[in-house]
Amino acid sequence: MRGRMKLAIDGRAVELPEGATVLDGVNRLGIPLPQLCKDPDGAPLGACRTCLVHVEGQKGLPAACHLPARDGMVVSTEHPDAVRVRRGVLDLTLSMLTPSPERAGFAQVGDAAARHGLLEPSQAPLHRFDVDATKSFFVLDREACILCGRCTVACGEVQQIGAISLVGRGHATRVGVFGDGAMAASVCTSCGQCVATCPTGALRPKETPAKIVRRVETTSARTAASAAASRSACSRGSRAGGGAPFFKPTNAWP
Amino acid sequence: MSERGALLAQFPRERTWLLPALQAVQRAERWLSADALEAVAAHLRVPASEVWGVASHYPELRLTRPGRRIVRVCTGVSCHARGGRDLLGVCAERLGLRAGETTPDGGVTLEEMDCAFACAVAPVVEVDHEPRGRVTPGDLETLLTAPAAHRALPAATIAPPAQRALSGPPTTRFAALGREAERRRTGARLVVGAGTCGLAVGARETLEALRLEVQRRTLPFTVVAAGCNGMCWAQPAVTVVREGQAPRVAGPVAAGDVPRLLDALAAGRLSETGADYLARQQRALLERCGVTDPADIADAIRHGTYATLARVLADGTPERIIEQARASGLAGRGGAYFQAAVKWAACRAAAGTPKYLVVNGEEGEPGIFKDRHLMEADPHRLLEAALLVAYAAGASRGIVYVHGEAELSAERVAAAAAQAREWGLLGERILGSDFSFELELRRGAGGFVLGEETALLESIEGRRAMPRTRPPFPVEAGLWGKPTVINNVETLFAVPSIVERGGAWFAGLGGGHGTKLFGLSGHVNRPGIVELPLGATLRTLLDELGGGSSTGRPIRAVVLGGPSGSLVHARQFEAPLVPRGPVNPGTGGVVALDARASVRDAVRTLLAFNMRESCGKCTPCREGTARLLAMLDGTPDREGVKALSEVVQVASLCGLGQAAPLAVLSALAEFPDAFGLS
Ligand SMILES: Cc1cc2nc3c(=O)[nH]c(=O)nc-3n(C[C@H](O)[C@H](O)[C@H](O)COP(=O)(O)O)c2cc1C
Ligand code: SF4
Ligand code: SF4
Ligand code: FES
Ligand code: FES
Repeated sequence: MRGRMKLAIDGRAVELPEGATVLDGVNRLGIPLPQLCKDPDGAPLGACRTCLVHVEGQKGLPAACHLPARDGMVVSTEHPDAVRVRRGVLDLTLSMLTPSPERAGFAQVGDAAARHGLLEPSQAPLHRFDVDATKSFFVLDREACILCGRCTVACGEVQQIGAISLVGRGHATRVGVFGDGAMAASVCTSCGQCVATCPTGALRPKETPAKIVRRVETTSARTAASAAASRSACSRGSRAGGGAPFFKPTNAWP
Repeated sequence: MSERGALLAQFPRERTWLLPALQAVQRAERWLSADALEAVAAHLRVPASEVWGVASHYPELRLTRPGRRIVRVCTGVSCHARGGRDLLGVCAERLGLRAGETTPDGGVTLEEMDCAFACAVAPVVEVDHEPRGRVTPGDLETLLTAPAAHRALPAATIAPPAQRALSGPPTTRFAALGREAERRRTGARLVVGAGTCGLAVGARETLEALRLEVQRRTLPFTVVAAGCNGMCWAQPAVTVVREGQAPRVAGPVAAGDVPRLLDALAAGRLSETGADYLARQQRALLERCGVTDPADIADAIRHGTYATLARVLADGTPERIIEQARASGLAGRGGAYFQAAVKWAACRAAAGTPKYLVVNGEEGEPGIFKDRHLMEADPHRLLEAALLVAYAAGASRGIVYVHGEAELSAERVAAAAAQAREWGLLGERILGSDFSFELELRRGAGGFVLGEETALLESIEGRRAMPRTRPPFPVEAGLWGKPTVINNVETLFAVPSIVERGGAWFAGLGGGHGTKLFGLSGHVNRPGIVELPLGATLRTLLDELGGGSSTGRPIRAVVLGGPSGSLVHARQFEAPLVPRGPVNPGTGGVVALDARASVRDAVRTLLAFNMRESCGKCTPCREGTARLLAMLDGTPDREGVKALSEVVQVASLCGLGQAAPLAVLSALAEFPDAFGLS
């Protein structure tokens, strides 16, 4: 069959179409590999570094979400090196978060950490934040945020709104709005795309337990977003926003 | 229209102009108020929050109003070794400020710098972005109080060629330019090293004194403001260039030394400085640095620049450039040593137009200042190289991306490009061939990670400098999704000679690796830039070129390759510096530390830098570097550091995180006593 690839992942065979990633194979087999920054319908961001796998004959531990599948690849999610380093990344991730009852175990992060035998983070968070509850329908709770960036992509690239952005740099990076103001002061239209994609419940509906957030992800509310997102999957070409970039005329040196 | 409105109106309403627009507003208003950011957002039609995301990401963009005068003291590893921290202390006391603060009357802001990229004239203090080198505590009083003069060098005006051959093959047309350049030849020259390093130690004053005195004595010399020849330690240096004679260098020549220098010259007893420094090198890339006039295309042409381009265009064989580069073994000098020819061939073969060439002149790694030397001293060679590579890779558009604070590099490259355009060497149908190439200059806004190639592309597109996932690689889908070659300035500098002399010539140097630039600083007698075949040893660099320790105490350690590099113990000084070898030269930054210098301080500086410079995108680097630093500040337990380092190195998305723990790991292994370990 042309354009199909056979891989072995954790000793199980899987067939994938051309253009698929190793993470697609992992998910097709239902292997529970963390993938915190990967929106199922979006292009990979490569930010969370929790989808690391071992590939036979390859150096290092590539991130499965942006690793193109190749025919004959032998992949392991259970290789001790992969598990050890992933666990280290999850520990750093969990160490960003401040537990509380409303935060209900941090959804996907909590699950992934538990599966790696991590019940407690080894360190206390570096930053404290107040919850931004200025919007009527949802909150932005930065003490539950892992800076995966999914919400900002959903808002800016999928919805083309740009109400929120990653702000600052280094470990002082945060999700924010203009002037580090309140969510309600932004151009947010309460479309809910950010809430739907947030893997931790940092963005969560008001008065709703964080657990439900994961159910929201599978509802049809996401279909419009999916269509837009999948157009951009695996292709940087879409970053131009469609049109050819303007090119500065000669002799202009701003 | 308001002044700001008029400024913004110059920019097309496209996101790619976000950084240039922010930079223009900041240049005019000294900082970016909320008001200004909103105006930029509205003009470029970029959501305000995303403008905030970008503005808050780049360290050079100021979101608070600075004092009327900005004093910045470098405390990077090289400056620290030479007393930078003491200078900061004196400034802080004198101004009653801590670093990062502004006096209540808004008069002065005091800041600490990671590197002013003039490490060879350390310690460096900048007042209103004007660097001063070799500063002593005694200099500070004047520095802090003297009125801040704007000190741009007078711009040379180079007339366009009187006549251009308007027909014939590229070689014929170029021959006409060559004749034009010959007509403009002047006799003997006195060439002043007016690079960043020289200007920081008085080259401007030397230049002025020399011009006056030559005029007064009606001497048959032309005085030229050139770049640095690599002898930063001898700046301000004056090189005597006479037809048919080897150039002779004297330095340092302060303004007050000028009469004596001219007397000695007249009497034929000029005492030459550091002839061995030049003779011990193999200078291919540096061959014209400090000799040619960077502001005059005619001088560049007389020195042979653009001749190779003309021949290649006449032959019409771009593939030959790739073949020669392949044979030369030329590998990326941005630090990753990736085969240059492989990139160019891949870009050439990739689908999509236009294709781009991005010249990476960001050079934001503390402890190295080689690309600046090249751009400042010989910008036309960079242009010729860019044209050759663009021709080879099938690129029709290029961007030279220069560090936001490398003012002199940017000015000289911009002036060179404007001249090249006037002389028919840039733009449409170059030298009458069917090759057209447009070039544009962009400036960075700070941040080490900005030099990472995909972060750099993001910034050109008007986004935060956060690296992209790979694949796709830039040669397949780079700038705006189009095939893009990104090369370091030094990599490009090797290209004209490789094409001219053949790949085998370059491969014959340095056991197949060619020559490499190294930046010497810290505790050496002769800090500067040198060029040696790869495979050279630190011993050669430190002793033969660097002239040994400047303190009398033995050199115990070297920081090799800056914050992405490692600490090298003296027992490894005899090991050959080979890419991917046991002692990897990286970008070539060599900072010598004597036996009294604190290895632990150096490591802390490097790690803290990496932590601050993490772009914030990926968890292991963003969080891990901060946690590593906390470990280092306590009593580091070796196993804990190793375990966390593994996570940061293996899991991080880009080279910054992947290399961030190297300095710590190497120091723990080589200098355990510095950490109270055995
Ligand atoms: C954190 C980081 C900083 C970098 N900074 C620079 C830089 O300032 N200049 C540069 O040419 N390359 C830099 N690089 C390397 C570039 O990513 C890229 O490899 C290089 O520009 C390619 O050109 P070359 O193959 O000619 O070296 C950096 C890489 C990393 C990871
Ligand atoms: S708020 Fe949620 S989606 Fe947004 S960056 Fe934080 S964890 Fe990711
Ligand atoms: S390794 Fe560091 S600098 Fe590189 S993408 Fe990750 S956070 Fe950014
Ligand atoms: S899912 Fe692969 S890096 Fe986050
Ligand atoms: S100029 Fe101070 S360390 Fe480079």
